[in-house]
Amino acid sequence: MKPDTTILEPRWNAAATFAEKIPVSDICSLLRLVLFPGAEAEFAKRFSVALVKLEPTFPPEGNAELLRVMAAAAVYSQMDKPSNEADAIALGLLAAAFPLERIQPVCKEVMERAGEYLANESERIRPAPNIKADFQALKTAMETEDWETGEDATKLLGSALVELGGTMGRVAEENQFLWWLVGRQSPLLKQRRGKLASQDYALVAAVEAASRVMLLPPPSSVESLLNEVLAQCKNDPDSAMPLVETIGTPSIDLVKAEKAGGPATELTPIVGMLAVLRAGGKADAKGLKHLHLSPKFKTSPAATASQYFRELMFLRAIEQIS
Amino acid sequence: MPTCTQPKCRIAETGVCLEGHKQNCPHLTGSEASSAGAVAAPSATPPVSPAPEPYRFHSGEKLTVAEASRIMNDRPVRMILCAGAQWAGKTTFLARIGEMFRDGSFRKFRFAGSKTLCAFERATWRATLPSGAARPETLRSGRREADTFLHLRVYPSGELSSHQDILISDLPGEIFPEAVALRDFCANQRAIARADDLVLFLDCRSLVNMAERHAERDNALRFMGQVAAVKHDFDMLHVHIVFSRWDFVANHPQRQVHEDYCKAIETKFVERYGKLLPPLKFWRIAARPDGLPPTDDEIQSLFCHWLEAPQPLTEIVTARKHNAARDFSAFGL
Repeated sequence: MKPDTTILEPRWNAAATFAEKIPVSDICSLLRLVLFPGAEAEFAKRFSVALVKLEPTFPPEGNAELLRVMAAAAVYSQMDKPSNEADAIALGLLAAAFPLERIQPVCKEVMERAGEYLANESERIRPAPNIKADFQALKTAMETEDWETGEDATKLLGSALVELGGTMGRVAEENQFLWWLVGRQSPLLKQRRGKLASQDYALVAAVEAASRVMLLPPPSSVESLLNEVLAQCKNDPDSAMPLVETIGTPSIDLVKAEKAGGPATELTPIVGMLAVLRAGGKADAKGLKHLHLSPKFKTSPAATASQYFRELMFLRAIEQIS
Repeated sequence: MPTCTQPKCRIAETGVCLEGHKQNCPHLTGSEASSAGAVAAPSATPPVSPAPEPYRFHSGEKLTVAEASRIMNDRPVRMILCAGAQWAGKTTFLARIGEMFRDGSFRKFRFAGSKTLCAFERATWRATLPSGAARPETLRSGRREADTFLHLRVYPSGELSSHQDILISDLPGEIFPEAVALRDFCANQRAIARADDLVLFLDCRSLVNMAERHAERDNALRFMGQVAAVKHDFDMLHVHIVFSRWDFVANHPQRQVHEDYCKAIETKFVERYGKLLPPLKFWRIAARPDGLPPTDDEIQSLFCHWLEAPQPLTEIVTARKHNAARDFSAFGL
């Protein structure tokens, strides 16, 4: 409550240093610590010891809430520059915020930063190539004497090729999504969408969308495309119904087969619910307690599809850095 | 530094032996021990565990900023700031909360502890029979009590494991005029900077007085202005406007006139701050009225609101660019 400005910078640096070398298993722990008070007692202990080593004035005991602030700082600092870890962190924060009241982030700014990071990064990795400028740079490099012996031209050619590869990936991704939308058919269920109920199709649609994402983080427009696809179903995808009903629809077996679960169920509530059902459990108050979810919670099939898509993207990001 | 096998000896940190040996202490271990002239130490000495963190006992009086910070380092805490003019009934309101927890009449929450029991006791003492006071009174908060905190730990009835901590700062009425007039003063108040809830008291005894009521209203509005100027997360602040000592309105021969004036004040607050803040709440409270029972239901509702009000969290919105380079990126905008 009494901020001492002299300790702020060393504390921030300590959190950032810790985050730089964080193993994958600890990314989920760090996110849980930020979002759920009282979570991750074992990790919190390790985190505390590490912080005391990096910043000796950090209180070693009675620091549970302070540790959550430091975890938020670590998470925030990771999102300062683009990396696979930062993708996973931002996607994890996004995935866990369902419903919003379920999470209690110690610093709300971290959630805003996640949204900002994902919007920027998803566009950055899908560039529109500047072919003319690339060609001009290559031409200039080749006009110098002894250009064959130098590496400049080779590097320029290489980077142009990488850029072209990225563009091809982006174009392929866009095409996949557009044909998926225009096709008016579910490739996995092999049925016209007009014959499907939106709640039956919601999770399958999320799986179909996830399989069309070629680069992480996914394009921001995918969730709008998901809504558009669900709007092709025979009923309104925006009408609220208990989440457990959407999760327990006939297409559930297909979704279960598609995704075998993830590492962080508290951060991925729908994957967590599916894991409970897969294990033969019930989606009741007792079965969902560890997910901080109420069986009475109502949401629309469209929101469920978006949420499941976010979770799948987070799990893929974790898989990517594992 | 030498180390010692005696668990409570802090010679390693302070250089002072627990038993007062100047040299040749039989409990010293390692090479340092021999350099200090100790007798040969056993070859396999058990590892010495570090001295435990000293347990901090509280005086039971209001917590200082440092003490409050220590609690906030450890667990989530809801910070409440009560502000208002002298005699507006802030301390009486807090004393009444303490009394209700003490006599078990609080319905939704149960008492789970407090580090400031003496301070609560002090506030209610003049309202008890043993005090010998002719009529129930409350000891006013003094100037020195600015930025000090009452602590309460409660749990929802039937949910023993979910403890919630509250720190309540009672801005003394004596310094309220300074807070209204001086922005720097408000900027230096830790409780204002950190408050989750602001409970702003308007004294109904002043509101029923035609000569004083405008000043009472204007001071409250000016104080809100100062808070808005110095608090960085003002848009997250839950504001409760309390018409305190409501018995002065309820018992007044021109009750309707004064009720209308209170309504006009509500409208003024909503016009000015309704769009900037979470929904404003208005309460009519009489914590120790003359000849009437206290408005315990209203007080309890206000207290519950502190703990049950949803935390303002905004949905993560990916800030998409409306002038995206490609139509695909702009889809759904």
